[in-house]
Amino acid sequence: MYRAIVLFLLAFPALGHEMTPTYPKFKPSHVEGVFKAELEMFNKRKDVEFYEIGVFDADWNPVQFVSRYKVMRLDYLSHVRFDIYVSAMDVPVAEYVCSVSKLRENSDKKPMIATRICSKFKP
Amino acid sequence: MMSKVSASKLLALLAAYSAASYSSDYTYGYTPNVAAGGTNWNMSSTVLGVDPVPGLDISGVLYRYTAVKERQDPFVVSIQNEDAINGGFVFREQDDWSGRSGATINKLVPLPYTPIERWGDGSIETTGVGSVVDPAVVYTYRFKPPEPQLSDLPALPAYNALYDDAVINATAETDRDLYEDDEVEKDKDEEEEKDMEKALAALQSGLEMAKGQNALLQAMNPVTMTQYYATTIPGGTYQETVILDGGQIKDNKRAFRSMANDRLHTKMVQEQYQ
Amino acid sequence: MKKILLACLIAGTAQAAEIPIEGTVQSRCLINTDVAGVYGNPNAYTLTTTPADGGVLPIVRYDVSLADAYKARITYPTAFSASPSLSDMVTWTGSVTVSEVSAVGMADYQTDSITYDQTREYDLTATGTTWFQVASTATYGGGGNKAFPGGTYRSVVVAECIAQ
Repeated sequence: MYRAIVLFLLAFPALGHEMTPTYPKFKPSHVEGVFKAELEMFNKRKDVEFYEIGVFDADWNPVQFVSRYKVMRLDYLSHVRFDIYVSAMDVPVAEYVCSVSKLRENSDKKPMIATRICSKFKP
Repeated sequence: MMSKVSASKLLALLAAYSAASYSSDYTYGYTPNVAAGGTNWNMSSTVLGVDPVPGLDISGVLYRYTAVKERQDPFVVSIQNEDAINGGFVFREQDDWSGRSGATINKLVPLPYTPIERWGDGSIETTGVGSVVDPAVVYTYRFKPPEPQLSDLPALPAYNALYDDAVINATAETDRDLYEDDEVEKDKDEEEEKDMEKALAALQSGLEMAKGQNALLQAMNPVTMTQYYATTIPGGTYQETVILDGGQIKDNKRAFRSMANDRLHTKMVQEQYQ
Repeated sequence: MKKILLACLIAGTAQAAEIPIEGTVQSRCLINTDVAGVYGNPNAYTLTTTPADGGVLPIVRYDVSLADAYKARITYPTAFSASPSLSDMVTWTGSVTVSEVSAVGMADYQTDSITYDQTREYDLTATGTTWFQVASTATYGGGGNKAFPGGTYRSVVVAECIAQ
């Protein structure tokens, strides 16, 4: 574990994106019949400012959900904590929650790699 | 009241407290690829790019190479450095590629700070079927020049007073001839002193004579001086010279009006008390 | 003097304070763009990331802290995200390969990976770092080798990390 941590720190200066936890859990929210999961995102990509959130089932079909923003603005080297709310009926179906980088066509940084990270809901 | 002993203890404590907060100045860096010349290398300054002197500590090894092999073949690669002091290896990392495809590996092995004196010759050794291509090995280090030890200081020659010329001269027997010359000098000094006394006596008598003469002169020509503050200076009256052109100064009617208002006000106030 | 000493000591101890630093260690997958990639233009009808043809291969790095918890899915481009107007078809080819690994346990990622359409999927069974390089070539005009119109061309590699 110590070695693995040091590897991350000594990697090349790179542009990255991460989302945790890997296995979020649904828990009851303040609204009856609605469950929520808490996630956190970190943006290490200078060339990307926006990330879109999506919830999918096992076949990668979209599942209805609510969050404060579907497309979030995340500045370089900033964290954001966000909640997603799913109705009790969709909780058994919801399998993945993903964040994907949104690339601007007119961006002068000319990104060529779109990153998408998906966490899997714990039953 | 604190005693002298406890005060000195407090001083020492204060000094120690402040000394603990000082930080040491290390320089951090990394070497070039020590395996550029092959899979065996020594830890000399030519290879490391820094002098391997006391104060240099190795903190990690970063290596990279491509293992070329077939998946079914056994193949183990060891990156290692001998221990120059204790024997064996001060560092050894093994990658077992047996039963796996070849690939390019890029790995960092962090280490506790190990003094350079322990680091002997390094090498990349392989066992099994396969080869290592394009190896690169880099050491990360920190360096701080060591504090000078007492034993490092040059030895000073011991001082022997018996061989000191100044001491020898001071303790040598006095030369009588020099002493006699001194007596002659002493007589000369005494004579000079006597001459001085005579001169002073002459001067004194001269002064006294002058005093006497002065008294005689004063007696012959009495001169009196009138004191300054007793003298009267003739004065007069300083007449006013300012003349107002334009006739008489007229009364200020506005002031009269105001005064009239005041009088009326006063009258009204007094009426309250009638 | 003694009062000053006492005051200094007392002041010294009063300034010390405990400031907690908190953090959590979680399993995570971090995707990094190590090299963004550039298209070379060896001839009028070809755009390619091959270094020999003046291109730069995009390199994506995955940092994983939990073994057997993630899949990496990398898709090479099949369309331009930005380009001048093109009247003819563009033929896309590409590949995804493991470039470097930080542990021997990742040596079989390439041989054990599966590919479908333009996507290659890897099972990340070991913790550490894996570098993937993506090759992409676009040829204009079908078999007719038509010259690309002048302008800026951009395409996108999709790198995904999916919890399993």
